[in-house]
Amino acid sequence: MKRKRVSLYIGISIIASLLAMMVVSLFYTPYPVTEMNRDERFAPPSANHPLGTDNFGRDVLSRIMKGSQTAFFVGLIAVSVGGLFGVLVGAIAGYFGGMLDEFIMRLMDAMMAFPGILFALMFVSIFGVGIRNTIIAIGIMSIPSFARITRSGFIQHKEFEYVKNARVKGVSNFRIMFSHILPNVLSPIIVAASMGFSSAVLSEAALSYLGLGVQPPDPSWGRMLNESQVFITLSPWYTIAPGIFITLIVLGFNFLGDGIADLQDRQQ
Amino acid sequence: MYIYLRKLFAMLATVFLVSMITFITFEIIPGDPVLARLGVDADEAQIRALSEELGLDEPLYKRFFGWITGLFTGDLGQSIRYSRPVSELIFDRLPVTLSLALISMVLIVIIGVPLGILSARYGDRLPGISISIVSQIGMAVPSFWTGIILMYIFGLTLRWVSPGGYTPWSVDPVEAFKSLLLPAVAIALPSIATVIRYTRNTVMEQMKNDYVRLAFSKGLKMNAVLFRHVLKNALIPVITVLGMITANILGGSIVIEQVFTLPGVGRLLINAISVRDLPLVQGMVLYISLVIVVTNFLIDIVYTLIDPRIKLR
Repeated sequence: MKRKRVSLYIGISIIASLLAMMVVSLFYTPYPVTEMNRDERFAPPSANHPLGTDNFGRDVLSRIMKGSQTAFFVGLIAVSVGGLFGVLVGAIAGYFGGMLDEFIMRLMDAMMAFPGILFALMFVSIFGVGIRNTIIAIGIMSIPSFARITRSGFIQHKEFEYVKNARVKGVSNFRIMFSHILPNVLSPIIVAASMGFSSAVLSEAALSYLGLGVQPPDPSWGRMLNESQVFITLSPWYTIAPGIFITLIVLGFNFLGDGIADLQDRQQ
Repeated sequence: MYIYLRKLFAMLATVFLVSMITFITFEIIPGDPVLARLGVDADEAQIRALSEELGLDEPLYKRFFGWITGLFTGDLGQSIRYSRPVSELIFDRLPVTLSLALISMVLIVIIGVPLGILSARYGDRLPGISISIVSQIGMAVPSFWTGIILMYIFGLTLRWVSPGGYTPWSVDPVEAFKSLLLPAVAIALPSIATVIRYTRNTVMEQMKNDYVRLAFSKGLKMNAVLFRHVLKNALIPVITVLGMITANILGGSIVIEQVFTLPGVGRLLINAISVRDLPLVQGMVLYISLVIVVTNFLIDIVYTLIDPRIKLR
């Protein structure tokens, strides 16, 4: 039984370490992020530069640390946007049902059928490239998964006694939905948020890798991969480092989501 | 029969919605396409002439239906960049992307499903747990990074395959396969991991059923129970997952084609976006999403054929 908590602990420790790194980078990085050094281009990992240097002789570790800010920022805002609208739409669909529900869910299905990256590409091609549009696109992409989960919770709960009671007392629909039902269906939404965070980070990395996401001078792990790919024969470690950090943060949030889901299963 | 009609109708509704969303999104683009072409110095008459030529003077709904009919007749307008019909450009690039998708799908099925069963067979013992952990990592690794690393190892260091570039099937099938294998592996890895986890879960879920206990009490061995009884029931949900993966594969190939410089639909799309060739982007978004919707529909049908119980619901 106890072993099931392993995913939760792994998830928490990975995310906590990355978060700590992000907080430190707000005040301190080993080297200034943009400081170039012609004599130290493509340096392999050493005591001075634990992750080596890039094609301009910039310290890769410092840039990775700065990049964590972008990853967390994009993930947090995108998940908040997606969560807010997804929960709202899902709650309306589940609570009121009928034609409205049918229409909303068909729309969500259509969005789900779209590859996320395709939507994001379409979005930035229309509204322009940059971190803000990247975040909005990723946020919109994550709406359907929140909507589905919220809807199924609402469908289940709207038949419960406490909801019927509230309705008889004349509590408004809005209040029933958001201060009575929502707190009871929150836990699967939290799991979805954790999973949503990891897919947001992956999408940002992919978009930035294609050169259509975060733009310089904003640091981004995906962008670092794009820049390093050309020099892979000269310095493989420059390509390896950002990839490992993307994997770590995604892994962390996946474990965290799994862990929370396991915890809920056991409580029920 | 009724169920097929209903599914067909749902698919058509989704196709309609998807094309409507695509159309409207490109309608609200900031900037006037006519002015963009003629420049700000254009006079009234020029603007009116080009608007008529592009059909922009028609009301919105008429243009939407015109565009949608174009979809079925294969006329989605002209690319601005290439001055060629959009559908022609897409069909030129389609073989690369479809071969890539097909090879990935085969890899996903022949690697993912058996490993999932194996992992379930050992349950919570070491081999089961280790497959499960490896698949967790597989899901987290970004496919384009895997692609870069694979290219570095097998293309640049070991020189087993050419690092990037594409040989058409008609020129040399062996070379063509070699140029597509690494990108297909990179696309397939995260989905293989997903399928392993999913198969493991459904098989383990099925193992709790009474019919499994009955089979064991008849004296059947583990493998017989697994392959003769459990697999049939466990595979049904796995097929649904394969449907969802179609979207992943196509999305993955957009990025991976860029890594390996393959001349597929994905690369065309990225090029179209970077030069803001909007008619081309619009047509491609529509085609790619149609492929996904239709694939999902077909998988739905296969699903009801395999499991007749679904029809009753």
